[in-house]
Amino acid sequence: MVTARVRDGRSAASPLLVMPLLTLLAIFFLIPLGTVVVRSFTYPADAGLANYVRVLTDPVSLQYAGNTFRMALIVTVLAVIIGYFYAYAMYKSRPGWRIFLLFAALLPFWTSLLVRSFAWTVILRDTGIFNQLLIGLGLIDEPIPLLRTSFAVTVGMTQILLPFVILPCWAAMARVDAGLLSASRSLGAGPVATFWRVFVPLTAPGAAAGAVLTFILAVGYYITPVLLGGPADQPIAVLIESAVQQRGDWGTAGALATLVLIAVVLLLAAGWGLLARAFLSRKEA
Amino acid sequence: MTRSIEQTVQPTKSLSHGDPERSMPKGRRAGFSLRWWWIVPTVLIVVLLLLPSLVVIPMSFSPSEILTFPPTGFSMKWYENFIEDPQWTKAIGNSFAVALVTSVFAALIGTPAGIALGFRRWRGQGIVLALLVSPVIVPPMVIAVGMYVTYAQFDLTGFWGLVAAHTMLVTPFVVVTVIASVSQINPAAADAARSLGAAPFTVITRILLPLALPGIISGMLFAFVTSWDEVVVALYLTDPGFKTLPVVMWDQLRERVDPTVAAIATILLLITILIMIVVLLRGRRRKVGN
Amino acid sequence: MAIDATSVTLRSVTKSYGQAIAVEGIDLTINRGEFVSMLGPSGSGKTTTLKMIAGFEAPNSGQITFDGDDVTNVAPEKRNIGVVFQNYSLFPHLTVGQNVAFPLKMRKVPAAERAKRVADALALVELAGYERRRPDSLSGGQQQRVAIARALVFEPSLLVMDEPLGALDRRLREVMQLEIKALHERLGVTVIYVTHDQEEALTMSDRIVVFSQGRVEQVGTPREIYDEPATEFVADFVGESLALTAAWTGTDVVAENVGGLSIAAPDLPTGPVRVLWRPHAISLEPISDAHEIHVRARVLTSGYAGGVVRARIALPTHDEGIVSIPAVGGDYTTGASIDLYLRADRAIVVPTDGRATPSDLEASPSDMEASPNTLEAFGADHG
Repeated sequence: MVTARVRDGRSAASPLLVMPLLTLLAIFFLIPLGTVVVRSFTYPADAGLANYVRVLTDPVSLQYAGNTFRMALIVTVLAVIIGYFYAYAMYKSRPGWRIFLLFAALLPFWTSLLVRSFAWTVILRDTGIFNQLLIGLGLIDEPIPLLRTSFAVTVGMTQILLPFVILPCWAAMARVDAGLLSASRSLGAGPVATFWRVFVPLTAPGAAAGAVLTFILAVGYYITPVLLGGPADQPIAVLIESAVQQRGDWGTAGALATLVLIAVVLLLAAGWGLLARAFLSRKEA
Repeated sequence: MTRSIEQTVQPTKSLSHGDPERSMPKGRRAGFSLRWWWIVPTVLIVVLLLLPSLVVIPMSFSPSEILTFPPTGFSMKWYENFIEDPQWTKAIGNSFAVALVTSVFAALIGTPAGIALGFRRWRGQGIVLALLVSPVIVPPMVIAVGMYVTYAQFDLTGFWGLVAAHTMLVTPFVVVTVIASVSQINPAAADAARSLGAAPFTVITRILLPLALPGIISGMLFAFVTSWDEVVVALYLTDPGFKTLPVVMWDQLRERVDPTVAAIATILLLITILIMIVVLLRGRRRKVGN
Repeated sequence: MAIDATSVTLRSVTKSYGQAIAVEGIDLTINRGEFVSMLGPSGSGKTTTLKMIAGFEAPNSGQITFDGDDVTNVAPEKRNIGVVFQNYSLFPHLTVGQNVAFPLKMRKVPAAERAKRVADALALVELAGYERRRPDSLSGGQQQRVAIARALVFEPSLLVMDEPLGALDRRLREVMQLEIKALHERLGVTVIYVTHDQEEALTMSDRIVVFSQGRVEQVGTPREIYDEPATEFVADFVGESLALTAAWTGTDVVAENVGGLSIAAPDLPTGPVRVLWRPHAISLEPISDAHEIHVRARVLTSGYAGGVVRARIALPTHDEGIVSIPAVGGDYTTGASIDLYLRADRAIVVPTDGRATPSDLEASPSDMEASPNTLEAFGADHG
């Protein structure tokens, strides 16, 4: 933090003002994370890289890692497609409808994650709304088992993460200069060409930011897969949890956590520019 | 385009959003092109978004333990159950206390950081910002395990342990919302204040804080709700004597389906909707005010 | 570049937004290859008219034809019009070359020919070799040149420019005015040029259409507009003038405290009128044999403006006006009296229209849509 000598009004906002938060963050957040990383090498005392070797060669943990990233990828793709479409519907709506659609996108944000996951169990189980609806419509005779399947996790996580895509997409769309769309039309591009060649490229950063955020958050999901998923849908978080709670195996837990941490940091580094642009929307000085 | 130039004769300007189809000649001028391939998917997405939040309402009034839909009758027993069971009421009290103290702490330490990051540019800013918001990004299970082992060494569990943990998890929201509101402030305001004799500290208290207040409040709101709803870290840092609402819910949900959860969820949902309406109305008024 | 220019006709075109009428009963013919300016204050309907010609808006009633073909409801992309926007509207996600190539791509021009035509168009606006630059790395003037190249590269039969120089500083604006004029002469394309700057309109146009309150006030060559304004509005809006409130009695124009001016306005009905003089018809001393009207004015405020003193003066008729006086000798400080000699044969008499003096100040473009605050909803869910 190199501070230029500024005497204007901005100097009031000294970079030192971040110090209280940074200090507390170091003590209560970074040290705990560091401890996890350290334990991955020191539990048992002479572990070294043994925990990593074991974790990376263990078919179980590889399978859980596969579950985690596969699910995160599927959910991200779905959320981006659905979320972009929804944001565009908002963009095209009259102001009154737009507020309703925004409200509908925000309400889940404010509803407890646990409650929503729980609600999905009620909707998707054999005697739930979904099966009753399908039977009522005569589409099926017997309930389809939906709960404890990948389908349930996919639906549940997509629903929960959808607002993270809708909001940056909508923000990007609202910022589109309408003049560019007129310009495109005047230059010979029809509505479809204007959409794909001008509107989509201009709003893609918002969608990309939503995608990065969704993927990162999905990788860390625990509650929803556990409540809605079957054995084949359990994420790494479950392995970490069981290593700690059931076996007290801090070495394995530490190694798994460290690997997840590295993955998240890499993803964050890759997507940071997009995220900062979409969520901070700062005016350039 | 020079939309501004004709603004006096275009009261419907907000409608002509420059949408390619809407700037088309007549016949297609409706604000929303009423075509089934727009309407149907949008309605389905709205259902997807709202269904889980809304389905708990009929559930909470269902008389049977095994939840059916549509409900077979009407019963308030889950609400009674919730009010009478000290496990639930205590948990609500604990959650409220943790969330309240957490959001106050978050505002106290997050606001200065947001001001420093939002009002001025300095080197290393990007890294610091990434670091400050990382608690939102790092998987909760990783955080939980780390805090569990570290905090235990200092006997930091129960109320204060959870407050410390949650403060770390939710402060990013205050930082981000304060950055957003502070970065909208014209630096000339602060320059003017200094030229009028205000010391840097006075600039912060008299200029930046009042202008950042909406950001601080919405940040605190996020902080409160996030802490209130947090499960994973709470599972590790609470003990049988001190449980928060999500922890009790989680315990219940893992064992059996308890409609009391639906009753609580319904109450929370109503409170949430009320808050959202207030926020949306306030936001609209602010826009109109501009 | 070979351009086949088109003519444009508007027949009783009316456009309203809800209750608000933007333009009403516009009749206008623009000839092939002509440079026509649409001049008027903000909200006068000139931009709405341009939008209807370009196809961004459809009139509620009336007809628009290009070379006799009805295009009233033709989509903008099918009109073959080059449009240059005030804020350039260059695509920020494309390079300069890609921006200029965009209309050619839309017209499925083969790649090789495309590249050549893009290079030609950029050379035309003196930006040869800028293909790979990003629009945001260019200055405002350069961006406007790119916008012009992009609007011309597909050889449109009509070029429509909406306050194209509005965002540039004065010096650059004057340079660009001449360049646009030169381009027009070279290419022969029909140009419709919207501006609120009367000087710009006078300098560049073959003909000027003056708009006010959604109607066409007057159409004419710059000289006609300046020397023979049809209405008080046009006289006030275009060019500087000194005006007296007076009345046309049918035999003479009479002004309060001045008396009969010995001016006839045979075309006008009797009643209140305004009598205007352009600066060249005003002098400080009686110089000509022609009949001159002498008025004594009082200086309200004055300021040195480089070679001349600009003074706000009060006239005996209770009118106020601004005059520029050569800054040599004389007392032009506040309260001073000055004698003005107004040439009767150059007086312009227009009926009083009762409207406020137009201001040519544009509203600042502050109607940015409030963008949704993404942060308001940046909640957290920890799974």
